[in-house]
Amino acid sequence: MNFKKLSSLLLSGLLVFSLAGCGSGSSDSSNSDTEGKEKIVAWAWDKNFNIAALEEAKAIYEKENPDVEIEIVEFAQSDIIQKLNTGLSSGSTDGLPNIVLIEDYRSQTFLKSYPDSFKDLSDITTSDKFAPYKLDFMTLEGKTYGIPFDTGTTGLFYRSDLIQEAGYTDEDMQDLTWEKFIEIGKAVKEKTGVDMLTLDPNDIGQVRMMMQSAGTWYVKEDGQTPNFTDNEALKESVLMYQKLVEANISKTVSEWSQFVAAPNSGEVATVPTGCWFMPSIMGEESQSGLWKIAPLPRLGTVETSVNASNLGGSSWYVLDNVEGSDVAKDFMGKTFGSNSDFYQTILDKNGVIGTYLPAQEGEVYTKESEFFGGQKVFADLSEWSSEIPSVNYGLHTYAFEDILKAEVQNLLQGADIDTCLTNAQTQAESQIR
Amino acid sequence: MFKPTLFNKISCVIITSLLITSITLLTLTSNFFKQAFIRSYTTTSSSILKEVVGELETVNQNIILTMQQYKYSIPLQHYLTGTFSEKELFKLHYDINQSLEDTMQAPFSSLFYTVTLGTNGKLFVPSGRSLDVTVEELETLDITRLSKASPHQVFYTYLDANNKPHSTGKIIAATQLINPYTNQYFGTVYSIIEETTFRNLYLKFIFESNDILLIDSSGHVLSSNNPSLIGSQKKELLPDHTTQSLQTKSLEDVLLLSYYLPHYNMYLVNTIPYDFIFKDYEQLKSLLITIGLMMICLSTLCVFFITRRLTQPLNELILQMRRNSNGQFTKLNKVCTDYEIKQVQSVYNQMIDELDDYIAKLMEEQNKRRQAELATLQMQINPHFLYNTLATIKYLCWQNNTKAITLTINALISLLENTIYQKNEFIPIEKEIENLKHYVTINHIRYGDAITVDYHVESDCSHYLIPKLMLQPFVENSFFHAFQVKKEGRIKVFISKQGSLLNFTILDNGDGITDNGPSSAQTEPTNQKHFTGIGINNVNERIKLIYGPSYGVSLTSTPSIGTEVTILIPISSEMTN
Repeated sequence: MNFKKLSSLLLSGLLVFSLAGCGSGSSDSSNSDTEGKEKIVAWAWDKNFNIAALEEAKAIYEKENPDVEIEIVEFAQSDIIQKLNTGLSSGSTDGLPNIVLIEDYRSQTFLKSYPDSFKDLSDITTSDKFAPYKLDFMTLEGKTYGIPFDTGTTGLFYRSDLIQEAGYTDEDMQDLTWEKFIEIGKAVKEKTGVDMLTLDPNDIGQVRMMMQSAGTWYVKEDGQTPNFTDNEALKESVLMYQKLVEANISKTVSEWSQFVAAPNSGEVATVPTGCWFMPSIMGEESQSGLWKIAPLPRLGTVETSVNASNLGGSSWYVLDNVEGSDVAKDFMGKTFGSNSDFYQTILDKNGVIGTYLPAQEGEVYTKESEFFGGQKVFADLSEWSSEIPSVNYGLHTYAFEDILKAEVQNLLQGADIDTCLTNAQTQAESQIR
Repeated sequence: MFKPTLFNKISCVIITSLLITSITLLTLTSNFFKQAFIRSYTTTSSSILKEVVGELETVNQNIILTMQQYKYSIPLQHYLTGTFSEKELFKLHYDINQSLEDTMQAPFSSLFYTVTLGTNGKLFVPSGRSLDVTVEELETLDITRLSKASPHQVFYTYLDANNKPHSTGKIIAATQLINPYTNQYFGTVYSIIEETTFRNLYLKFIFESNDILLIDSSGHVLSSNNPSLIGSQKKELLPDHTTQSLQTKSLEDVLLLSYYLPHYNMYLVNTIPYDFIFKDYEQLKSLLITIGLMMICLSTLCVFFITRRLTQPLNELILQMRRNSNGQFTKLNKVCTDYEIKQVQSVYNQMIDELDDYIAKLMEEQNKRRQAELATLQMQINPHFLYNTLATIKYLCWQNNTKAITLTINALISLLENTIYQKNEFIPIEKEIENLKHYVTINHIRYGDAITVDYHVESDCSHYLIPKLMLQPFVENSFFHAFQVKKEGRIKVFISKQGSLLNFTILDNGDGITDNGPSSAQTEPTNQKHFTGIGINNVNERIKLIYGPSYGVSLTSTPSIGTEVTILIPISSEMTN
């Protein structure tokens, strides 16, 4: 019967239609991405310092570019290093950030290990804008890959009250030698019972500061050759470190919070370190007015040693192959790369001393700090920063320091300094071979 | 409105059952889909949970491995049990870090950090880590007490951020540090996972709207992708039984899957709002309903048409039969090819045939009977006629008018012979004319010859057969009724052939028939003057019986001019002699 055929045809048609309907119904829920908003990610450590500066920059940039979202992720520095190494060596940019903060000691290692992974920022980072000693760390074959951020200019933070209690004046603290520093330390320990400084056996930054104050490093000028033997300044630095340990004026700490807690809780009278430590010192408001900053002590036995050095300091890098790298570069260029007001703000608000030269003419730099008893700390620090002897950190700073740390332990157990350094040289040579 | 017709009944039954079937089917299907959606989300959810649980297990294993290493660290044991000078400490710190270096390189080491608290009250945190909890907080943790009670076990607990700035909640594992060789107890080790770190472990498993929560056994939310839930009390999310590892629970608006983490003594819970699960289902449902409705409408239409088609022939049958009800039975047209209807039609038509046959037979019988009656009638000579004729003869005898007597008796004998002895119903026209002439003779002798009768018979007609005494009653009628006033006149009989017809015309120039004239004539069928029992009415009836209704007698009359009677009968072969 015709009618039957027709109806069955109609029914099957309906079925096909309904199936097609099902198919289309389930497929349209997939592409619901947040369109338009470009997202870039930045990694850094230290909430009070680097992260705070990033937040400030983000606020400025997002205001002008509402279609960009900047995500700031805080990681421990060691985690960033680990993740970067894993990601870059696997060749996959998956999970890597657009912007990353790298300590200057390590920057050459990254630039050389992963060529083409970082974006060329030569047009942003010009030598008229940033201190030259800083630019060297991020320059490779004439191209500049980073934006210098904070300065590692060192200073000797000291408790003016405790020094005076021990019978010394603020003038005595200026342009010290380490020998004099130990002498004062012993007096402080004797008079006040307070240790002079903290030492961390796993982080011999003091050696590094001493070394650079004399313009030498673990490696020679080429950035590669181990420079342990025949390095008078290094030898004197290690010996001075040994004296610091053995003078019984130090408190041993093993991690950052203990390092910060010691000055904050009044357990130590001085902190010889990079100026990035300032926000941490200022974290303990009850000690306002008690602290002062003097130039870092120099090595009295080494003629080239000056009362200025560098510790740490880091710079921003943009990963080239991660999606959104152009936006990231634009973001860095418009904030850290050119914005004077921004630097004034983070300096004023967070005590972050950048290395952007035009910002140093701003009035915040000449401001007197209440916390530091009216001292013009920023002006002083920028003056000292100009005296820092320039060295090439090269590729192996931390690897060689690990070797030296072990040798320092040997030294403390009574080994001979020359044997120790020769050992270190041998180990270092075998390691880079 | 609702007539209990077959159409209505069938439509009703089919549509009702269709509706019931469709609705049942729809309900079943939609329930099935609903279950399928829940099942698929349960599967997804449980595999998500298993993934997360796997990660958490790995973290747990790493924590245990790390703690194990701490137990083996001799420098740490020294540090946590003795007292040392700064110089000794300087070396110890270095040695501890060296001995624990492996733990810091471990793949999951960035997820947690480890703190040890020695029996001498000293705290050790490996370098590179910052400590976010105080010693007091650690000492007062319930797991510190628990782990001291059973020192070889690892216990987990949760520490609130307690509104500290830049601080998050922490999941803390603790066990006792016991040197595995000397069995010397030297402190407590804590591994601390920040809630935010913990959250990152399962954050990648968050799709659009599910929530993953970590709940302790008292219903306290420790960690969640939804930060607003952290710290809240959600006892209702706890599974009903604590024995099984994976459990499904259905709350009012969410599908809940929970996994018990025995190491952590916590529950990992994944909740998916039903709204989300049924988002696709709702689409499907509306599609189902739309299709269902369309099918129902379509089927209803189909049912209507099919039922209509089925019942249409019946209705036509009814209409046709109804038309037949006024006594006229015609056969039904073949309209339908359906078997049943065909049968009804053929049975009905057969019935009509039989009925027609029966009626025809009946009619025929009746006709025959009537014809027989009429035939009997025409053979019965009115006794009055005989009496009157005989009386006339007697009178003639009296007069000795022998000639007239002979004439009259001859005529009477011929008449009697032709009517009584001649049994044939049909006679040739010449015979009928002869009879007429005898009859007229008798009448002339009786009543005088004031009324003359002329015969004009076409010569080729005289041999045709006609019913006996067909013309006599009209001549008789004219004799006795047409000349009441005029007393004299003429009667003319014309017989002619008109094609296939025979035309008999009896004309008189008598009084004509007034309106009540013929009635007086017709109301005297038993008039004594009548020759036989047949009146003019009977003639007409007889002709129609014999030849059919289209033949018969017609009468036109004009008062005082005359009357014309015309009889038409067909010529048929059998009518020739």
